[in-house]
Amino acid sequence: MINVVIAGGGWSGCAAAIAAAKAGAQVMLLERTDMLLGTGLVGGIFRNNGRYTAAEESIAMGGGDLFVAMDANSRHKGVSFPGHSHASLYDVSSMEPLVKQVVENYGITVRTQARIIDVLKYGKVIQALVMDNGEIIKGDVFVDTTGTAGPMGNCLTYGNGCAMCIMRCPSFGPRISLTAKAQVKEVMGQKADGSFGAMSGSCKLNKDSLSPEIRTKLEAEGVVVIPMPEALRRNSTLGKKACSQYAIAEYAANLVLLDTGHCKLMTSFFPLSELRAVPGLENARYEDPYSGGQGNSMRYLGIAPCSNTLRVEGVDNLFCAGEKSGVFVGHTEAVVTGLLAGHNAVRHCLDMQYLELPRSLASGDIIAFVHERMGTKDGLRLRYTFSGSVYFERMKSLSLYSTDRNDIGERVAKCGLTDVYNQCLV
Amino acid sequence: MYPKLAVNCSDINSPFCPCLLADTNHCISCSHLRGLPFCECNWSGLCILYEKQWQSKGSGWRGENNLERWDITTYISRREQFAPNIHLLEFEVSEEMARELRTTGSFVFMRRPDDPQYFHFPVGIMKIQDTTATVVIEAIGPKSIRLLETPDNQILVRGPYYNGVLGQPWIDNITCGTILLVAGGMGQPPALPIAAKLLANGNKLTAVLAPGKIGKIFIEKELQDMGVEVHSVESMRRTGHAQPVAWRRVKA
Repeated sequence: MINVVIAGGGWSGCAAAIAAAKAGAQVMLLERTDMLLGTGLVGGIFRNNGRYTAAEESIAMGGGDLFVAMDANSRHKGVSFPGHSHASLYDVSSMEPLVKQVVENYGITVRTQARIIDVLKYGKVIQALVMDNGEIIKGDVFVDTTGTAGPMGNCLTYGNGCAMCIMRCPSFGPRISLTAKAQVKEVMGQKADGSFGAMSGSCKLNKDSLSPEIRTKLEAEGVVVIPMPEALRRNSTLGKKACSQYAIAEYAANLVLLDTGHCKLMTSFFPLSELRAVPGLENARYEDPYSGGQGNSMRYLGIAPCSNTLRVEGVDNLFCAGEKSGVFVGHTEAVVTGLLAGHNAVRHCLDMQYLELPRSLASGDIIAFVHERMGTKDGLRLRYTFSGSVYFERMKSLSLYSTDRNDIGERVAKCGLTDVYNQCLV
Repeated sequence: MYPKLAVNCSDINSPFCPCLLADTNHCISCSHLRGLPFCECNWSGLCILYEKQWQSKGSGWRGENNLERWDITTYISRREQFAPNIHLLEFEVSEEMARELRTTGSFVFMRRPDDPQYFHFPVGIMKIQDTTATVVIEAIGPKSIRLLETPDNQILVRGPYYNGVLGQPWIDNITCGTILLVAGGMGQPPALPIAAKLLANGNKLTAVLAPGKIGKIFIEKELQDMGVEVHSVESMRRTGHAQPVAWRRVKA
């Protein structure tokens, strides 16, 4: 039996776990906090712009479970807001139990409040993980989906301090990186100004704290755009954002609110006194991060150097996905990379050739493109997503962008990858 | 396959953290406060960098307002001589010092108040009753002998200090076990608080005591009163007492 151990229960960890289980492995998914999904607990936006194409590619490749769950749990579909078309918004309040159910249905052992503190490595092979209670968990192959956000010391050093976000570091202990513990030197993302890290790009407001008019409109349409009073317009915060697809001028001129269960405010942080000067938000308060008036979590502080097969360089049996595998933004990107990493982990144990997604698919092209760009100084200052910024432009110019389900299915079939994630390899 | 020994600084979560080591970029726990670029600590439940940030706010230089150890001038209120150079001393300390010294493995530094700082020497706490501290001192060198001859019984006590990076969590976390406590000579005083802590956690304790080099067992009755089964032996070395002559020869 092949034992795959996945470190980190965010979207990419869940996707990796599912892909490894489908390929025939015995999978253990370890999560530091008491809930799966990680920063996806406050995400919500998918199928916007090129993410639609990427989601359909994964579905055609047989890795659609999580996208089907998101679709089933969407509050709104086909929403458009500045710079973004045909977005779906999943309900962040009810998504996690559903995903946990999907994961457990595959026979995956999910262990929450299981924090890793170290790895045991002989030569270039990781033997086991050491838990904070001293327990040792052995595995044949490991997937690092520990993310790149936090913990508190990093948010203080590179950002505005701990903003008390969904990561909940003080309660569950800090995130650690398997890659770093395996003595692999990590790469740091940068802000547009060259300083390190990037701040998460959105906050959640408590819906009950909005004016009844805004709340009603938000729940009916999924999106509310409020022109920002002139005095509050500040372009300067945009460069600090993790999500460059929302770092466009329209987001400085307007407050964009989305209904993801909470009211998602598309800005990294916004001083509460200023926010309350906006009509309709006089009584607003933050839901996540709790100190959204002051800052947000810092991310991209530890990216693993890896190949396009997502195997971490320098360790034989370690794969990575999500933000760990490149300067990616968003849970669609996390799921796409997670599926590949989980699948390749099983191939590793069977001495099979690793799967590398072809560049004729957006999913393959983005991984290769990001890894190319990360080798350049400017490349580290950008974030890459199917939904906007440089990569969506590239998708359009290379005709990789499509919203035609059949067309996307045919492209996947042409690469011979239809249902590749559904095949049991063992 | 063993993990690295997880050690924590004994000052973490105490009012004395962050300390001078953090000021000089030598914190043994926080990677940022050791000059490294990223978080990499053996999580203790709080962020030392954050503590540092809050404590430093508004002060002239980093760490200016950090709490330092307390110096208390007090008097020896009771002495008892167990052996030619073994003295039990009792003295009063402040309430907060007494509270801190109840932690297993605590120690203080002692000297005469008017002596220079380098006359300080460390002394383990044997017992804390209300605000009365009990220690046992072996008068063996210039510092300890000088302390015992202090005029008017006046002494200076600096503390609290805790037991370094080892030991503490294992003693605190053993519950309902069966434990053999072995102590001899000057190892007897610190064995008392350990026994008290282990008993409080529902452990069953058997003690083996030997007089050691100082030639006296003096915690036997206290242990028996606590309900420990005590076996006093003449020596725990097969060949009797330590042999300083042989030791010197090996070293040369």
